[in-house]
Amino acid sequence: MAKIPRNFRLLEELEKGEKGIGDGSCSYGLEDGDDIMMSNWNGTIIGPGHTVHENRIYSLKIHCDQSYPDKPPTVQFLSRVNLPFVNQTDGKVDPNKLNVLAQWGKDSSIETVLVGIRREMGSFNNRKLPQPPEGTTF
Amino acid sequence: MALPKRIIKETERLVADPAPGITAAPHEDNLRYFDVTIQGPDGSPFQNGVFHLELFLPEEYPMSPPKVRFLTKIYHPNIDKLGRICLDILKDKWSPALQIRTVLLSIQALLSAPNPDDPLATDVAKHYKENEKDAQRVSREWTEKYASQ
Amino acid sequence: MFPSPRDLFPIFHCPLCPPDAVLAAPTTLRCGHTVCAVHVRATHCPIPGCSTQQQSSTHNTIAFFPAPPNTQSHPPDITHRALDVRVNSIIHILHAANTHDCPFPDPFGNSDGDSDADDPPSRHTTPQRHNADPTSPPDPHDFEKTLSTELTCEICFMLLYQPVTTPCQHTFCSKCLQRSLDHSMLCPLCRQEFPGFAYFQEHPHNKVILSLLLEAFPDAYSARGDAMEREVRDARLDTSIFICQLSFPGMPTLLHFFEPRYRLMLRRCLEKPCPTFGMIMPPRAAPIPGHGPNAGSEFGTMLEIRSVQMLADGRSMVETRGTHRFRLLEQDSLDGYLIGRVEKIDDYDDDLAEWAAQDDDRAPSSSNTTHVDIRPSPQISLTRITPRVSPPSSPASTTGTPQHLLSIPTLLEICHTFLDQLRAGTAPWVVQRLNYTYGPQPPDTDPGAFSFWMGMVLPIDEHEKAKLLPVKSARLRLRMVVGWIEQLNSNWWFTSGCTVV
Repeated sequence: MAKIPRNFRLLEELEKGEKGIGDGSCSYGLEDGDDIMMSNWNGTIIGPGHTVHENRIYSLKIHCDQSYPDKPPTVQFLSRVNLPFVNQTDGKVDPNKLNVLAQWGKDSSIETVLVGIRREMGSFNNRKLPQPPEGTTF
Repeated sequence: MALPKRIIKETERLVADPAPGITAAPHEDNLRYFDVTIQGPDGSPFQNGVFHLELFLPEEYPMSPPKVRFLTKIYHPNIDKLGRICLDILKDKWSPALQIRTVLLSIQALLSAPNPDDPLATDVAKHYKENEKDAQRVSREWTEKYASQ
Repeated sequence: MFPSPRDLFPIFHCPLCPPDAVLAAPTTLRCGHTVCAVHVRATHCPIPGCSTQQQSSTHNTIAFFPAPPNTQSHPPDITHRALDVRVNSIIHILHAANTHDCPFPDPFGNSDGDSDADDPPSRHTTPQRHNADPTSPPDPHDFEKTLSTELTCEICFMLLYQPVTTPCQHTFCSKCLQRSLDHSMLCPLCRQEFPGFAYFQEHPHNKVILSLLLEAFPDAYSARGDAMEREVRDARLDTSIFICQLSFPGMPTLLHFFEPRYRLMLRRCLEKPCPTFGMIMPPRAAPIPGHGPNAGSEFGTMLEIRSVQMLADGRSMVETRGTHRFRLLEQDSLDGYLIGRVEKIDDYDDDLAEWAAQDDDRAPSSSNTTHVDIRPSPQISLTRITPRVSPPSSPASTTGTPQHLLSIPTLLEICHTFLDQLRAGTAPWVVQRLNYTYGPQPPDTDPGAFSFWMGMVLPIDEHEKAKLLPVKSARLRLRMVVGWIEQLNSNWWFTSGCTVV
């Protein structure tokens, strides 16, 4: 199998993100359009319906270092949110507590991370967790 | 998966008989991934610059074109901020009879002959169309700043 | 001993000129014959007895309908026959190499430049071309090298294998040209548009070039053929995998092959005596909690190809039928598509016998209980087209008998009840769908096949249905199916009777 190098892999992800993915409930793009190494990304998740997150818009930072995509990116919430895998002091996502990061594989991507987080928001255990006021940040 | 014979032959030829002003060497751990340098052609605003690029031969190569990108910042109407190149043979005009060598020669030619009518970097293209002399000045500045060795 | 130019000249004699006349301005016709351009006056080959009829070389029993000719494109222009670039260049090479022995001046001495306008850069470096000076002693190795360079395919960079020549007179390996056609209808060398996909099906080889290959490079040529065969035979990952949709054993599936990589996969499958391939579902967009990132695509179904209808542009409609399930043990990719090593999945042998026996013991009670409990409202509709006013008298449940104890006949009965209810209370197209889309309903005597058929029919998520694939017991599968039926029944009751929360 031809192994796609990091940079071309990230270019593919960027182009997919620019076209828009799925129903638009998750989106992502480069933090700085000049960043030739494509390391820092912004992500947005619209909270799933029928949960405490409904209609909330969550901003995240995603960092892909040189070992991407062999290793997962680091993910950090900018918007305040109460979820078991999010550090409540700085918003960092604990990779061991979030399935999409813990079981990182060759089909995983920035998109699968965002979609996976959104799915967790709607899971039975998390859908009713009390949340900080809307619009607050870490 | 073994590397197709064609890629091995192309690599051997690139190393043994490089095109003038162009180098290409495969990564040790990924023989489909090449480090490339292209010298700015004489007489162009990119003269005396050495530009770094990366090139990747996807699984379906040579049925699909190679993927190529500038790593050195360059002020050119057909190359965007992320180094992506607008060149027809890298897209719909690709043919399996083309090779890494012909692709890199075409990119070198693109440096000599920018095409602001088919832009990828629209602001640079606008600059080139409205005031070519001034745009070339910026291209020279960038070459000196980012592509001098 | 490499043949001398003199030995090779007879291959290049024009079949229509006086004996021993070498081809002048050679052009190669669709039938694979090469003649001097002056002889070509009509669409058919001027060689007496040449039949341009193509014979089919399919070695398998499936129904294959080749692509119809493209009626919109014009036949190649026969009034301006183009030069067979490669044959012409080879004649030059033979003449050049022959000048040393030949007392006559080389008649082609200065015409070199015309023919190589289309040559790849590699050929410009060939020594012989620039070295045709008769005073320098000819090196037989140079001649061999020049000839082998001239016989190199511009797509794979190897010695031509089964050479075919296009109407624009460019020659490629048959397989290389086919792959190029998957991607584009333009000639890789001159970008002239080809007359359509059908033109190249079963295309005869260029007879002159093939003869030269066999005469000058017999060992290298047969080695190429052997290598290709060996690659197929020794491949550990010998199953082609099509990532498309869910299928089960016994189910008919009609597939549309349009992506270049899958066209190639299909062509390779059809070269085998029994064309089959595996099909798996694409993975979900994001991993499911508790599963690996590839959840859902580890198990699939082998499909046997029943018929292939090729369209004029090279796409194909392929009729298949599921034969058995497999588990993907190892995978890699080949030219863009997935290949793998698979393990067949069969049901446990004792499964049916064991449960048939148990069934005798408990049949009366369990079957009665269930039958009563699960009887649904006749108004229930699969499509929710019919508005419903009252919920079923009793929501689905299997109180009394734990589900894991239900016997095969009981489970079958639940399924039949559900099917009856569908047929009775729904739009006619649903019934039609039941009858045609998934093939005939398997009889109760084959609960294994029935479990798959029933699972396929249910209007639930395909990834959920895929959970039937690894299960090796027909009874367990039926139990899963019944579980879904109960969920459906309770959902329908819920959504029709109450406001959705």
